[in-house]
Amino acid sequence: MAEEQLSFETLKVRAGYKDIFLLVMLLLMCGCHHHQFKIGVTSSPHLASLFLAEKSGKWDKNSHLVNFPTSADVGYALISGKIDAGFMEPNKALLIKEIREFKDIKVIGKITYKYGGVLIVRKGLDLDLHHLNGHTIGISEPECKLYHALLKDIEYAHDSTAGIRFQTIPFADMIPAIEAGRIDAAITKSSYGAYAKKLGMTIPYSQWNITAGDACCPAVTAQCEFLLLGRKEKANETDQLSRLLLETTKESDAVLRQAAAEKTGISGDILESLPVAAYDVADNKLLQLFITVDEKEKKE
Amino acid sequence: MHAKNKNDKNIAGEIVSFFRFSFGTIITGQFAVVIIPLLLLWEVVPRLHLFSRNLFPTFSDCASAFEHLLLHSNLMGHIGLSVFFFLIGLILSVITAVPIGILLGWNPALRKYFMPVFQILAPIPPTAWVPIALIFLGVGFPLRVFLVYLSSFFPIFLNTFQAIKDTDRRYVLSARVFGASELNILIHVHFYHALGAILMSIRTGISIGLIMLTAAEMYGVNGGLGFLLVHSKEFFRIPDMVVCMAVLGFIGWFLTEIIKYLEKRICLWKESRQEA
Amino acid sequence: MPLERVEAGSMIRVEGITKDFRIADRKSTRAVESVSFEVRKSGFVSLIGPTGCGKTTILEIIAGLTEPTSGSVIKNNSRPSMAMVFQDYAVFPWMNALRNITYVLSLKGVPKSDRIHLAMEALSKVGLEDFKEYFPSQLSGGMRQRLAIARAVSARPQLLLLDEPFASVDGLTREKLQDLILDIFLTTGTTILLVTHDIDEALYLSDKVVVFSESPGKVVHELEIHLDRPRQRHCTSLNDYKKELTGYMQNDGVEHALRAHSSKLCCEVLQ
Repeated sequence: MAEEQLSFETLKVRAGYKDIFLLVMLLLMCGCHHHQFKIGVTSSPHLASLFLAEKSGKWDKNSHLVNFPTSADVGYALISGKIDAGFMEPNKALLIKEIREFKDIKVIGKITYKYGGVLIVRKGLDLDLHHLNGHTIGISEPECKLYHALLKDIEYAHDSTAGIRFQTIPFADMIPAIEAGRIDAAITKSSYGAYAKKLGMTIPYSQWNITAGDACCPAVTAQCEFLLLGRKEKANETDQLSRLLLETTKESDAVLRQAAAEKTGISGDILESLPVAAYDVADNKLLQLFITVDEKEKKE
Repeated sequence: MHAKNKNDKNIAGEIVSFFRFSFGTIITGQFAVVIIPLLLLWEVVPRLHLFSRNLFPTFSDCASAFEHLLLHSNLMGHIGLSVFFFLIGLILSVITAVPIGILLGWNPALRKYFMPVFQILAPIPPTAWVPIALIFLGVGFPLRVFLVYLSSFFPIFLNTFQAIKDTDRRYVLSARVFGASELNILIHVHFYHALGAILMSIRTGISIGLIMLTAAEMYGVNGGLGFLLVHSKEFFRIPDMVVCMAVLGFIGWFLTEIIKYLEKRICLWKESRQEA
Repeated sequence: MPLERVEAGSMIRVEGITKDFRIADRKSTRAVESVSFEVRKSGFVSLIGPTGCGKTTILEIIAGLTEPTSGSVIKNNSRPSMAMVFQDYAVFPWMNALRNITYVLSLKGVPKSDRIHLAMEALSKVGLEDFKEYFPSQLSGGMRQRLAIARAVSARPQLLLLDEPFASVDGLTREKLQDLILDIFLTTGTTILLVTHDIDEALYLSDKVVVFSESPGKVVHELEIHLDRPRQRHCTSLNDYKKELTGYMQNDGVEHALRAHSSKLCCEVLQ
């Protein structure tokens, strides 16, 4: 009996120490939690500079990438403070600018992609410019420059465009529409090329001589693939990230492609055939777009 | 007290009676006392600017979003799409699950052969089927019909099976001693005994089917309420999302009310004597 | 027991019936053992014994709803038309009173044109004609029992099996229903087999009383009652029979149980 009692006493003491130990660990973890810097991303090869930065020695140990399904989800997380910075598609970023909580957010940088047009064709369909007759092709709108360039090139090849059906579909919906079988092919921004190829689609035609700037494709949303946004209270960390990205974006295309391939699962061969996106700080023109009403009033 | 006569209402009378039955439980004085303060709260609290109005809309914001969706964004089209494919999936599952449930509940030999198959498949949560379904069916209408069908099949089948199996032996013996054939017993005893449970299981099927429909539509591009829900989220239109949620809830409620009414009209025998 | 020749006028002969039941994994229990008795055509036989002595099992075997483990049931007419009233009525809850009867009539092959009037006739006999559209859930227990009886007699069966049909009914209704059964018996000449634990009932109604022991049920005694009908309840002659019966049951230790169930005390009052 005495023995048992003794061990019970020791157990009580040990439990006591254990409790304190756990408590301390918990507090430390909370503390660590506060120091964590979370960056929201979607899985895209255009974030190659970021992925390369993550692998580099200069990456802040407290920084973490958090994956989200879409840019809108990144946006919600950013304005609610669940993440400290995030990469969003420009058109989505422009939408959340209207939300009052956006006053805590600022635009820091942008990821740009060489502008051009590609004709994406559904997997299994063996099409090229000469055999588009009788098929349905998606275009973003009738005034689209990419669309006109395509028409010109088809006529140049002495083919007729009369038998081709064109259907208007927003850029973002084109690839899903091809997959669903609603359209056979689409003429879209070249930045969608990598993702299309990952899904097994083919790109029989591409055009790199187009400059953005008309009503259909304003420069900001046409050439910018992502904007880097950050919470104002984390300005130090976000600037640090931006500087690191400016360095990694200068690396060779091969190295960047490698980092993107590892992170997104798109094969190196596909990325090989397409240009690489570049990071740069936000210029004044871009920042102008994101001045909120409050700030405007402050300035005046 | 008079027993109700079964066939003394025409179609118009039935419809009126149905609306009184379904909406009658909601449009009451007691409910008004509860809902009106809640709606007022909903209207006032967002105006206190604790959150941005975009993220926390008032009731009137949502109401005007509803009006806008209805008049300009083809809300009825989306509703029609969702309901149409939902009904196809549900009807398919009823016409397969009920007969199979009856057959396996009734015949012990068949049960031994085939029941294990269903027992293995049934516990798989419907959401776990989504990735495989996506691969084989792609995004689109077959996906929706399949997921609605799959998720509503099992509750209907299992409940039908159990109800037929558990038919009170006394009734079966009663019929048998008077000389009924086995088929006659199946139709007139087992089936009617199980009818209440079958209708109940269809209500469960509706709930689960609607869940999976919404999930399936989130992958779609073509339309439907689930699609509209996700689309609104992508474009930061919270009031639209609330409208979608409310419409989906209403559809679920309405379909369930139809089944409840059917049960009331068909299973007349369940009414016991009431206070005079 | 040696096989005796089936007597002319015999409706059913039960020979050495034994029935074992297996409950889950436990060993089998014997419900009845070597039961033999005879039921004459147009006769009224009561099976009496404590609850659980297998009387219902015997009835079910005779009705063809269960197979005996050993022994046989020899019927004079190989497939007599039968009807049964169960202990808890077992009227179909999803059919109204009228339909319960017309359904059974359809099973018996009665042509459609005759069903309704035959059903109404049966309902009138039990006093339920005003309730023909009512569902069982809308009827009281006594009314449901009357419906079960109406259903059973509607098709004029050759053999009527009654399993403690008045157990859940109050004394006054019970007497009325007993008289009803008697009336049907006397007017239609149906052969009736009644299972009951009420000695007075058995004595009032039957030609022969077969006494069963406790489980496993064995036939302890057969008693013929040679009294004209209609009989007076509690008259001296019946009391004499009763004394004889209780004597037999006392030997087997069942008397106490039966006495407890018997709703009327043995009394000397005549008439």
